[in-house]
Order: sequence, then C-alpha cells, then structure tokens
Amino acid sequence: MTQMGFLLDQKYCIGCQCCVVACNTRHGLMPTVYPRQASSYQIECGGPYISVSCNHCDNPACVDVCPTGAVQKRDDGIVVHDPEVCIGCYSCEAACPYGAPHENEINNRMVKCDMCAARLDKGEDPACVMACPMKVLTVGTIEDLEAAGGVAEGVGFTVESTGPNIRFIPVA
Amino acid sequence: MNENRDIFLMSDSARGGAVSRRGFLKGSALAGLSLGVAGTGLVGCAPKQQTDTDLSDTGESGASVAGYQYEAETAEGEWHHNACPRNCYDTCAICSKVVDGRIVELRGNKDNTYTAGGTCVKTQHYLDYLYSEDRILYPMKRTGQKGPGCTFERITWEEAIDVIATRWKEIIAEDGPDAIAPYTFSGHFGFINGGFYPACMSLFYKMKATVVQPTLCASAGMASFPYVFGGRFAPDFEEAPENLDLYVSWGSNEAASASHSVKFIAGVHRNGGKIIVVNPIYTPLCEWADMHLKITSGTDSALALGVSKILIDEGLVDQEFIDTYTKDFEAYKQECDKWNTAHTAEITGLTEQEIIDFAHAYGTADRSLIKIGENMNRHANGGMMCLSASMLPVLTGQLGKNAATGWWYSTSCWWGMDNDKTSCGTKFREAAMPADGKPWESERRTYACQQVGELLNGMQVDNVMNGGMQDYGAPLVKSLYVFNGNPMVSNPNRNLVEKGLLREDLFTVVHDIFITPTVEYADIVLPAPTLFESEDLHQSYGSLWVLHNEQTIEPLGESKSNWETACLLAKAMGYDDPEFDRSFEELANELLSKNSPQYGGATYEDLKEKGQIKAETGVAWAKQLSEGFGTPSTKIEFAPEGLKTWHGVTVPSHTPEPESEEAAPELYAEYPIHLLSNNSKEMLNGCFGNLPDNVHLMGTPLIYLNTEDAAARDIKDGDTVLIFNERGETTRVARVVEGFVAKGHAQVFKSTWDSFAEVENINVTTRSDTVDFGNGTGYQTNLVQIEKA
Repeated sequence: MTQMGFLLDQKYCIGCQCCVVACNTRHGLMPTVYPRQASSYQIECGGPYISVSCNHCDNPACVDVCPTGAVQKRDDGIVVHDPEVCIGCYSCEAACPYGAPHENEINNRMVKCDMCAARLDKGEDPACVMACPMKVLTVGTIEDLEAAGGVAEGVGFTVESTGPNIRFIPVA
Repeated sequence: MNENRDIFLMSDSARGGAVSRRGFLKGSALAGLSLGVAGTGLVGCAPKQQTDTDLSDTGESGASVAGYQYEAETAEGEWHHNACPRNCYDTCAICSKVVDGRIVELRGNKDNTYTAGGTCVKTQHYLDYLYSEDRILYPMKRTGQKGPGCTFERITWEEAIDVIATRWKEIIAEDGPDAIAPYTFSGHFGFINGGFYPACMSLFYKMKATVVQPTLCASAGMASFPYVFGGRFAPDFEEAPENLDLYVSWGSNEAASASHSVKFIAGVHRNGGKIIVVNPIYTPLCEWADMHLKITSGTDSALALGVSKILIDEGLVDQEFIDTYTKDFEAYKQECDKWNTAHTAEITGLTEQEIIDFAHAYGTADRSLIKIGENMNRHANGGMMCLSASMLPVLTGQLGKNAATGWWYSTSCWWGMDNDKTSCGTKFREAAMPADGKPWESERRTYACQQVGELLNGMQVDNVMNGGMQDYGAPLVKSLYVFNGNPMVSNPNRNLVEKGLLREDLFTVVHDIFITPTVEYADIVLPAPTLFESEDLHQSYGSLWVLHNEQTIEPLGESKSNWETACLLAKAMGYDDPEFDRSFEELANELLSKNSPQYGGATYEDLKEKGQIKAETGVAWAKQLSEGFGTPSTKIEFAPEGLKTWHGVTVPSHTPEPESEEAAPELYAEYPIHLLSNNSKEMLNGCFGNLPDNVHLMGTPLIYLNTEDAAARDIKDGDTVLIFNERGETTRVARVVEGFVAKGHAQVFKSTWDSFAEVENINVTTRSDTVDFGNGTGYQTNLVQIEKA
C-alpha cells in the first residue's frame, strides 16, 4: 500500500501564506477559515516557517471517532472527508492532535485537507502546491519524499503517535 | 494544548483581526457540492488531466472516498487567459474557467516560467473580489457629506455623464481647462486602461487639463540611471540560479513585492551562491543570507562610495572594463577618496568590519547581481542612492557578463509599447512622453501626482523639472477626476490630500471597483470592471513576459472600463476626434505598432491566441558593450553633464537626507526615528485593504521597533504606541523583536484602509515633496517620534 504525504522544504519557506489562501479558495470557504495553516513572516519575524494541514496519518484519529464514517482513509493513504455524510459533530476536530478539521460555516459540516484528491486523481497539483511561489511544498509517496531527503521532524512540528505523513527537508 | 495545535491557534490569536465588515458571501458557486464527473473540454490554459479514478468508489459507510468534488472543478467549462493588472513586479499569468457566463475557478498559469502556476497571497481569492457584494455596480451621486459618513444614490450612466460634462464645460468657461485635473496612477496596470499613460489620458490632453505625472513609485531611479548609462537594462531573473555567485538585495523586500522572484534567489543560494541583504529591516531573505547590513535609512550612497573606495584601493576592480567602457573614472575615484571606512561607518551606522566584509564578498564574486529596490528610490535622495548602488557592478565589470549579472531595477526598461500613440501625448498634448530623467517639455500646468494635496489646496510648488514655479492657485482646480488611483490610501501627506478633497467647491469624480477611502469624497462615482471584465495588454516589470488579458465575462452590473468611460465623456464634451472611437483592438495594435523585439515582435493576434509571450531581450548590456552606450560619449559616464546641469553634482555622491541627523539635527532631536512605510504581503498600494482574508492575515496593524528604542521608551511587545510628526499622527501596536529593525528605525505597513484597519493609514506622516530625480516620492524620508500611548 502506498502512502501519500506532504513535503515542506522548511529552509526556503518564506512564510508568505499563499498556500493558506489557495486552500481556503479551493474549498470555497468563508474568509479566515483555513484548513491549511502557515506561519507569517510578518508576525513571526524570523523563521523557520511552517505550513501544515491534515497530515493524512497512518492511524488517523479522526477516522476512528467519526460516528458516520464520513472520514475515511483511501488506499493511497489520503484521508478524505465526505460532507454529504458528515453531521458536523466536531468529533474529528477534537480527536485530531493537529486540530486539522475545521468548521465550514456555509454548510455546518466539517472541512479538512483531502490533498485535493480529486485533482490528484486527474494528474493535477493540489491547490496549495500549485500556489506555492517558492515551490517548496510538494506531495508524493512517502518513499519518494524520504528519498528526496525528507525527514519526519520539522522545526515547530511534533510527530504524534497517529503517524503523520508530512516530511521536512531539514533547515540545517 | 500541544505544540502542534498551537501552530493552528497561533495564527488565529496572534492576528486577532476582527472580520466583521466583509460583506462577502463566499463563492456560492464554489460551495455547492456535487458528485459530478471530471471536467472535459478544457482549452488554452487547461492543466493536463487524466481521468483514471472511479469516482463512485465508496467505503463501508457509503461515504465517498473520491475527495471533495467541487462543481467548479467537475463542470465542463472553457478556460481563458488573464493577467493580474496590479502594479507588481510579477504580473501573474492567470487561467480562468467559465461555466454559463460565470467564472467558477482560477488557477495560476503554469506555462509562465516566472510566476509558474502561482498567484500571490493577495490574489488567490480574486474570484471573491470579482463577485464581492461590495462592488460598485452602478453610477452614483453624492447625497450627503463628503468623507466618512458619505451617502450616495444610484443614477443612470446618462445622468452621470451629463452631470460631469455640464460641470466641466462650466469650469472651462469660468476658469479655463487647467481648473480640471485627472488623478491616475497604477490601480490597473494594463497598457490600454491603465499603466501610467493610459489611452484615457487622451481625453484630458484634448481638454488641455492640468497634466498629471505618474511619480509615486519608481520614477526617481528610472530618471537617474540614464545620465550615467544612457539607458537602463535588466537581466533575465529566471537565469539567476545558474548564473550567479552572489545576489545582493539592496533596499528591497522581494518576499512582499515580487514573491515569485524569491524562488530564483533561493536557487542562487541552493547552488552555493552567497546572498547579501542591505536593508534597515529584516526580510525573509535574511534567513539564509550570508550578511545582513542594517544600514541607516538614506545613507546608501555613502555605503556605495565607501565600498567603491575599498574595491579601488585593494585592486578588486576590473580595470580593463573601466578603461574600455567608462569615462571620467578619476573624478569618481576622487569622490570615493572622501569615504574611508571609518567615515563610511559613521554615516551609515554599520561597523567598519561589515563594510569591509561586504566589499570583499562583492569584489571577489565572479558573477554577481545587485537588485536595487524601489524602496531605496522612495527617498528624498532616492534617485542618487539607486545610481550610487549601480556603480559597483561597473567597477567590477559585471555588466553583460552573462544573462543575470550586473544590476537591475525593473524590466520596464524592455517595455516596447507605444503609449504615446494611445494616450495621444504628441497629438493632443503637443509634447511627446518625457525621456528618462529629462525635464518635461510642456507648456501645460503639470503636477507630480504625490502633490495632489498641494494641487487641491492651491499651493505654489517650485519644480525645476516641470519648468519652474507651478502655481496651483491660479486657477484653483475645481474638478478632480480619479481613476486607477486611491490617493487617500496611496498618497503621502494624506491630511493635506483630505483637506483638498473636503473642499465643497471641488467637483470630484471617482471611477473604481470598490468604495475606497477616496470614493468617500466623490460627487459622482462610476463603476469600474475587474480584470476579468475588460481586455488589456500587460508587460511585467520583474520578468520578461508580455501578456494578453482576455475579457472573460460580461461586465458586472453597469461597470464600464476606463477607456469606454473616457470615450463617453469625450463625446459629451463635444470632441469628435476619431481617436475617441478607437476599439480595444485598434488600441492594442497601436500599442504593438513598434513591432518591438522587446515583445518578441508579437502581434495582437499572436498574443490573443497564446495569452503570453516571453520577450527575447538577449543578454542585458551586450548591445551597449559592443555598440556603445546611449550617453553622449557612448561610454558609461561617471561625471555626466546632466548631473551637473540639473542636479548640481559632478559624480554619484552622498547628499544627507533633509530629514536626518546629518542634515537636520534640530528636527532629528525632536523626531529621532526613521519610519519606513513598507509593503506588506497582503496589500498593494491602494488595493486590497478591504478584503477580509487580506485584512485578517495582516492582523492588527503593527509598528516594528528596535529593541533598544523600545526599551528607551518603556515600550513592550504588544503595547499600543503613538507615532507622530508635524504632518500627522496615528497609533499602532508595537512588535519588538531582537535583530529585526536597525536602531533608530521603525517599520509600518502601508496601504491599509482606515475603516478596516481601524487606524489611520501611515501616510498621515509621510512627505509629498518631489525627490532628487524624476519628481519621485520620498515616503521613506520620514522622521517621527514614538511614545507609549
């Protein structure tokens, strides 16, 4: 079984938050609802900066607690969410050690990063990846991301027991 | 609460911006969820796609595992090409998808190798901007007071045009045509509807109105370089990673002003090149930079001279290049001799070691590029500061060494479109566009657009570059027509601008997309289209790309482009010249009529079909090195005649800033902080200050303080502080971070809209005097005092 994940070259991330707004726009969310979050160089005043969304964990806590089965893990490891089955109960938000699911005020369901699975399935880039002006945020299989130098530990990121699938090119 | 959740919560709490005024119903078309099939029929801008997933796949619960299937992405539609029309280095290539006459999705165009599929954090939600409930969709007239609290009622276009033309005819009869003035800058940077000399200027040239000069942005640097170089040329920045050993970022924050260029700078660093930042403020490049020189604002010429002296004294110059291609090197050398390292350190606020290290790194780099930032040009002596920095690559023979070396300011040097023809400069103003750096040859009363406050208040301004004293009191301007501009946000010395706009006898027309802080002072408001509703041509000034912006959808409401509106007004004024019947196609063909190699000789048809073309410029300076420079001597002139004639100096040299300890010790004693009003990543000039994500991500408007300066005032991180000088005052929340700001300096972000930021725009403190070259604007020459509120 493959496992898809994100790779962030943290050394060259400039904290521009382009990925944050690209994600918000792709999901058609109200302003300031951000399933992807990133640090701002203007607020942090110094890096390394970080950009994180759902980490498509090996053992996703959200899937276990969802009472309706709206959150599922695909064969390629992407954790997807079906808003038509979701009842907006916040169980996933509470269970996620990364706080990744957010409320979508428009339909009163949850919304989370699904790695733009529909776009990946068509051979296209996720919105955040496409928007990144530094080209430091990418997706791929964990084998490929690690072969490219990705490691599990990133500055400002804790590897939780759920087995997050984000990798970082180390800063040093 | 663990660290990871803090990543998420940090941004919500630290930003803290309330977003109560959004008036946005976010992307209702996008929000609809449906399990459609993958879209087909994509053309032009279409990303490559394959359909190999069974979207009916469901898990045990019956839920889909296909991921979010948004109608915008699944519906069949047509793709069109657009270009971001903001005044920004990058000019992002955008693709828009239309379904049933409505744009449902936007993506950056990956075929543009510079913007590479991106748009910036400001513009990712252009779709919301386009369909915002807050758009002005109909003409309106004022029904109440001017300024905040204003009220308007809808009128027809016929009434609006009639009211404007009737008033203008009265003014012309009573006071003469120069009692009417346009105000325009760069709100739309397409060459037909905007840029600095849009086709619409033909209306005001025909009218003989007071002439506006586009001087808020980069004009000081643009005007200074030609004296020495006989022109200016810029490298292909996409070539930087493979062709540079050293990149110097001087007076620039590329992460905010040209975010798509930063990947090329990172490429230089990844390939083992060095990065040096010269800036009083930390920029994101400082994360990897080998050196960050926190120079005292306004002393950049001194640094360039001090470094030049070290290069010359230590034999780190390319003497063969100097001997072959330059004139009057001895005169420059004599000026440099005044700048030993101790003196340079004293004036610049740097240590002697920093200056020596910079000189050695620069002098020993085989292939280097100095980015001369437009922030440096926005000083009282900004033109000279830019020119001084450009001397270093002359000394080291970096010009034309390869496609990326030398110095660069803006690729607008390659713009080859014929604005004079479209704006009818020669035809109706009886004066061609001014050559770089030279005085304007015009009989007409002229104002530099940062001085709209002086204009509206009937002041006198002595302006040698406009032919001497300009009396704005005779006649007093009775009507101001604002398009592509937002002077209540973008202009310096805003209190003076507001005083003028509040005049009851001033008839103000504003043509815009949103109720900007300037619209609040309008008598007549006209609805403008966004980029998606009007055709135009664009050239980037960071890259070499030339772009066509399609009219993608019908204009919303009754919005009309700047050009259509100018033609309606011309007809109503009784001007029957055929110039006011020109179609967009005719204007585009006029713009491209030079058949310039600088846009690859592209025709309008080529651009319409392809959407974008990368100009073939060849290696910058190669032509001049082989055929001679555009100066009288055909050499690079260290002591050009024009510098002496018009600016009273012999060679590039240091002049103390009028607001500095060096030149004005009494003023400095009272106002000892150099306040820099810089670009944030969320806003740009007059644009975006009303958009909720932009306002939210910027967060509480901050002032970034040096730790020692803050401690001396008992100011702590998070305190509210008062910022003031004799021009105005405002407040900000203090951000105090070790190493972020040079001592004696502070940074505030420009471009905020008062009612959204809940504080005054920083331009209440900035100065509107014309600067040393090109009638530019000296926003950064601004001494203030700061106190705990």
